Amino acid sequence: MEIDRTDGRSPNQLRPLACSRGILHRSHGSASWSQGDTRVIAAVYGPKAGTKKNENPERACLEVIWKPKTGQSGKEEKEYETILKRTLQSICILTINPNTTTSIIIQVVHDDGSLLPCAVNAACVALVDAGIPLKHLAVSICCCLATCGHVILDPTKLEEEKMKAFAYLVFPNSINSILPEGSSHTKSKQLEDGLVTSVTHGGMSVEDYFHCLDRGRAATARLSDFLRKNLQSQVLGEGSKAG
Amino acid sequence: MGDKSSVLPLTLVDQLVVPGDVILDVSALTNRTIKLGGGLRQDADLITVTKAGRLRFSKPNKYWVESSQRRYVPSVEDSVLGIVVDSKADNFLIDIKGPAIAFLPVLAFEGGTRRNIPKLEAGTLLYVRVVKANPDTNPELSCTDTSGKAAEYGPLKDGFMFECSTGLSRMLLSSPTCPVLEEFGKKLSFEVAVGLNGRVWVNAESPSTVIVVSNAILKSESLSSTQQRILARKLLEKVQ
Amino acid sequence: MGLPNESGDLLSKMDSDASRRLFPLRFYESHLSISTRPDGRPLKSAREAFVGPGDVASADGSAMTKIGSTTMLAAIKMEIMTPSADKPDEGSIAVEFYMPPICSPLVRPGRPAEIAPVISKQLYDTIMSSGMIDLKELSLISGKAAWMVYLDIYCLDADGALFDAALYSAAAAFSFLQIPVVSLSEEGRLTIIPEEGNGNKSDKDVVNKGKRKLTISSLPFSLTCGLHKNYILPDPTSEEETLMETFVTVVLNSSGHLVSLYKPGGPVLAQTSTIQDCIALTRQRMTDLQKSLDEAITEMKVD
Repeated sequence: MEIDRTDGRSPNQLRPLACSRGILHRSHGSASWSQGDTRVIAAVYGPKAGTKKNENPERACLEVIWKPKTGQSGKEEKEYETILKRTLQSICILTINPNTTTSIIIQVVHDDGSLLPCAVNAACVALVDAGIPLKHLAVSICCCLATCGHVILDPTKLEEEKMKAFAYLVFPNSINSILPEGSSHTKSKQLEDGLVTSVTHGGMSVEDYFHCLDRGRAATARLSDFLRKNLQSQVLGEGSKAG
Repeated sequence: MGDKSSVLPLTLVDQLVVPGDVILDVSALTNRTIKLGGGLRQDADLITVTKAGRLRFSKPNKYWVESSQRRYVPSVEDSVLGIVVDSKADNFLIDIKGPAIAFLPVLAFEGGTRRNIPKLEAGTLLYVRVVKANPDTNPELSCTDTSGKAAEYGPLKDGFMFECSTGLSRMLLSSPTCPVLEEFGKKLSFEVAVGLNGRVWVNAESPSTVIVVSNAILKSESLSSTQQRILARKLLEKVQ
Repeated sequence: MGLPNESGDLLSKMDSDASRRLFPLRFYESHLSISTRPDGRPLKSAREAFVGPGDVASADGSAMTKIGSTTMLAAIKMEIMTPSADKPDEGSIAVEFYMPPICSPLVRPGRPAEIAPVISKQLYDTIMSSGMIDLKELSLISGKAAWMVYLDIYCLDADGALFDAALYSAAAAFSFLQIPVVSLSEEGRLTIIPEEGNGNKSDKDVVNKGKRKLTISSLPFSLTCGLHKNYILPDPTSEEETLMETFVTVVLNSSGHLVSLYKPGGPVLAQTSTIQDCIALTRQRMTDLQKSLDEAITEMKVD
């Protein structure tokens, strides 16, 4: 029942992750995130005074600029910008610094599949690095659905093109809490089940989608762990690479 | 640390936390007030983290997250280094590296009256205190301490100012005195002013002292206290 | 007396139009609490949908759709092109979504709406994912000639659920599409024969005789639901879209397959049950939309 992946990974296996923070000298927060050969650099500037036109000045405003690896940005980049902006808006606490703008610049270094999830993860680390107040973190994963109905995680570009359908999913990170396991606080429970962002390409059955959702959610636990370890090791100043 | 997440400690104090972590359930504490510092917020009954860093607790009831940033968020009673950007009839406009320009009322100096408004030109470096820091208005500064005395506040002449992270400036201000400053202080004579907004000003008789001290401070951010002492001693040998 | 109560009192005393402007959120929530929406709909119902031919004479197929007062005009123009070398027996489709200043006070002339290219991309992805059109069918002569389909959708009135209305108009325009007649000249070049000049040509020159319609296997239908606190509110108006920040757009095709599940962030996290509810609502909506489209198609045939 296993499907062969060109790089010999098992369906659930993610590509090697790497993340470093504070790699840019002049930005207020920056991060590079890579999953296998896909690599994205994110930089955060701000909060700067004033909001853009047509934005609510009673809240902090986010601005996402997506720079493709080559060429001009087109419709696809615009779509990514919109998705990323709304995703990040949902994790930032926008009421703390009203009437300010925070710019997030995403530079694609190399695209080998799962580009948007990679950018979400990079942007999230960059926001932490800049000290922008966040409700929680977000972790993102791409689930790919093969024609036979199997789900593989974190596909490469080739796999994305070959497969019937794929879904980009964003979940909240798994949190540490002093509350006892299974406590009455439904809020934190809900948080872990909730889906922040979903973008799908290609048709699939409804059951398959929920299957993807479950598998994606399971995988984000690993991503969360990586993210936490990474953020913690760098707070200690133990070096810039982990995983 | 992530591995331990299944066996959670009873308290996250002195642990490294990331946004979203729940550190306290207020409903569990009966009739107690707690004070929240930076990086924490109240979400219904739960106290959650908004910034990555180390959770600190100080008796009896203060909690905050210690983190380091390149951008400063104004907070009341912080001493900061500001640069005059412009002067208006009622206020000086000061850049304190925050999201908005800060106001320094022209009367907020020791014995300040309409007649003796100090002349501060754009570009002047000031050591000031944050008096008001509401998110909806521009922060307000003062050049006096709470009793109206000038204390150490006011313009800083000569010397050299450089920018660093807020974590480094907090380390420089911590007590006992930061090892780098302590070691240099034994041998050299110099002045420093550290703003919590990530700006440090150094002044000394000879320019070489200023350079040595500034470089040592910038390098010391990621070093332990013994490493800092070694660094300082090495540099001192070279100077003398 | 706390502030919230005071403004609550104020709200009840105020003229409803004024409260709608001054306390939009409170006004809205007071409606939700009595299970109704400001435009008089029950909580879980979508606005009425209308579909008809678009009467764009210069286009090969056009459709006009309305969802509530959101109005879309879709037109398809077909041109002959040389297919790309790596896909010699496939035609291609280009989708463009326009938001002219006429559609909303938020769109100013000279400054295109930010959302327009995003919706274009989403429409293109959805049309391709749905398998509605077989690109091979757009081939005329393998490797030599194929159809280039230009689908242009104009938003005439933007009152929320833009993507739903745009996709509906696209599906209708493809259903109404009449492929132009093409003839092969002696030099082996294909040309489109204008409708009137049809009789003059001999029948054997015509390449695609008897194949004037695309076989459309399964049409995609979508429903956008706004999530506000615990409410699921299908088919939001533009007023509701400014108040809510979380939207889930579900696209299903006529065979019940999920074509797209699009949720770009938003403060409300979607639980699995919420997603299931949204899909169920889309199923219901799909039958309505399909029915009115079928009616419109039969009407066209009668004419």
